[in-house]
Amino acid sequence: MAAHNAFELAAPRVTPMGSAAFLLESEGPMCLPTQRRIWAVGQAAGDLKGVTDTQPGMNNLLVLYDPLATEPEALQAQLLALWIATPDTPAPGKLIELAVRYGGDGGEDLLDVAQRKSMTPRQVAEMHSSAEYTVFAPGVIPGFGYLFGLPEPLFLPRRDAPVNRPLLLNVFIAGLQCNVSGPPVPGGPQAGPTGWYSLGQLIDAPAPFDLTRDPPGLVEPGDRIRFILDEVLE
Amino acid sequence: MSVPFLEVLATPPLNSVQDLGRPGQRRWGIGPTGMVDGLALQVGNALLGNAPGAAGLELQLFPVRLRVLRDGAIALTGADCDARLDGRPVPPWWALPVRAGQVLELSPPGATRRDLAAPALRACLSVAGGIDVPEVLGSRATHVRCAFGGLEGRALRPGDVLAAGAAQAPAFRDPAGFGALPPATALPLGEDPQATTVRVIPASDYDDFTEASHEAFWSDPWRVTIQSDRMGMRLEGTTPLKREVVQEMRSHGIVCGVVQVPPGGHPIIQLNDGNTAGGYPKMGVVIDPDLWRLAQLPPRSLLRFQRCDLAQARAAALEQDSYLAGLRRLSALSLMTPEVA
Amino acid sequence: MTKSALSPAQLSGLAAQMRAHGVTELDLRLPGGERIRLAAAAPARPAPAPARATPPARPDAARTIPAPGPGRLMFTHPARTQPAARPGDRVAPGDIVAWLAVESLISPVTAPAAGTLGDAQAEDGALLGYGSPVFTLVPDDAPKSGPTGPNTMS
Repeated sequence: MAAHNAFELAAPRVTPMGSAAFLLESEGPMCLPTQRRIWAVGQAAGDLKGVTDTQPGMNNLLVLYDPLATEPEALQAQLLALWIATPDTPAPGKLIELAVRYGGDGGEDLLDVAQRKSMTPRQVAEMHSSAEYTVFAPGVIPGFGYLFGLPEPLFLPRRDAPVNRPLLLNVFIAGLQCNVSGPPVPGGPQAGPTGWYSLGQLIDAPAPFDLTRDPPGLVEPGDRIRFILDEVLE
Repeated sequence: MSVPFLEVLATPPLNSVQDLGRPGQRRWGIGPTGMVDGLALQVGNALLGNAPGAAGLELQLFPVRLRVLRDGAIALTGADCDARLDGRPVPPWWALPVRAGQVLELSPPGATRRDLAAPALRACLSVAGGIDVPEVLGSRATHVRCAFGGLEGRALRPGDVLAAGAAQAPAFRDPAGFGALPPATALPLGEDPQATTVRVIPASDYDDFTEASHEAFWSDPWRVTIQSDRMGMRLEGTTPLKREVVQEMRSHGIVCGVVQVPPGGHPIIQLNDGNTAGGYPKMGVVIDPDLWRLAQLPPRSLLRFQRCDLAQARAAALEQDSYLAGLRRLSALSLMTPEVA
Repeated sequence: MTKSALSPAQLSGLAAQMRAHGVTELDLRLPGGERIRLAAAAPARPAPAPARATPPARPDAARTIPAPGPGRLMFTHPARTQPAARPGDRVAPGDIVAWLAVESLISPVTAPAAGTLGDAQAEDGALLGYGSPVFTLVPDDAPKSGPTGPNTMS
């Protein structure tokens, strides 16, 4: 268990994110072992004196603290020590399956992506739904997260200029990331600007965030997601 | 036990119940929300002898009219809205006793008085005992985007009745009330009388920006644009900020006060209702003790950035803390009824 | 005098209570043996002429608005650029005519009766003690003698 620490990581870059937070950024490629270390350090950092919250990002960790309850410089050193000493505890992630209708409303960019990749829209949908994704970090809508695991042939840089897209619990991709976005509540904003590519929308998905549910969020970092191909609208 | 205390007679949209925010919920992608001018809320609570984080009303659009339903006490802090209680002027940064039936009116800052000494945008109304709404995920702040917290998860509407938490009605030595030295006077900052100055700690992407961008960031005044709300403030300057090194940005957690630079080069400062994560390059972060200064900047006002480090930021936090501690101590004496033997 | 067991704020609190109950003199023996004697300017009588180079303009009809406690006098609220009141202004009982700051706390100086404000009796920023005159006030019920209005600066 403790011997699990075989994966050696370079010390992260620790920089202030203002007067009450530090950002720990790991060098190197985004990968599951690094992310596991980030989750573990985040969990351990939550117990440090003065730390008020932690938030994993993609290859990074935000640690918020109360500057009147702790010495910032001392906390910075403690975080570096944790990075070295914390074992990569494998997160007990659950598997969640979500049905997707590719193309059509909420899938405005399916054809564009297919053309850029010299694939058919169905091939894009099949490739996208063939992978298992891991929730790396809390995301842009409450209750969902940034996903890692996009097959490499689908990597696409973010658009230079954002475009307006309807928000219908759509499945977006950009770079090597995948995400689900949408109105967090009925009646929320129905469209928004994004530099990501929208491939489709979730069908019959549970609300990402529901206060009557325990826990209220649909996914947590470490959970695994499978997208089930429901249909492809071309 | 809570009792109906205030009835909303008139309010534009976008006014809401807020407290100091909802910490500890970032794993669900739930950001801080809370009063943008958190210092104004803490001053109001200090004057009334409330807990520092007791909920109040954040008023950012006017006119607002409220009827008092029960004898008690209120404090008005933040923007000077030329408040009137049954027609009688109430000074800014002020706590006073109120009686059932009285009507409180607030006007847009600067509309009825032209002699405001500082920029003013958002007012805070505190009540003795705090505004009593159910706590959701550890806070009473309204999360408008997710429709929870505050009063039914939404902004205030005419006809709403707000309850106050149980509180010993504070006894005022003078029925005219008393007030606080405004933070702009007690905690002055900056040399340019035409602009508001805030302190910024450079962020991890700072070195990626060009030298000209660094120069412009620290020495130019930045104008607040009309595209500003509780999510963020968009700024406009004469020199768009550009990066020398363009790296693939990885999404990470962001905080209130982060100065992000989208491709156009015009910075956006994130505020309380913003996303919890982002990926735009960030020049720096406005320090927490200066966030209240941002909260009071109306569109078209000018902003200057002053470079600072962690030690200076902590000193600023301590200075603000001691200002609040002083107010709590002195208010307790002002509310105390001395025993005459 | 050695440091009193009562803080300035407590003293001014006592003073406020005295005023509220019409007590003009208070003789207190504190547990430590300290003895404190407080005398208030009787609100029903014209205040004694302050020991100042410039006496109130018309001591016969005017009374003063005294400082309700110690503090630094501010005619203008620090969040504003115009004074709360000016000589010649009509005031109602309880109207705020100036402020007193003690550290970061501000107390109001209020008109005790309806009337017309006379001249300021202290400089802006001056440190005042309890009862120091701030303004003269010509009450509406004052016997009318001589010119009716005080000098106005506005």
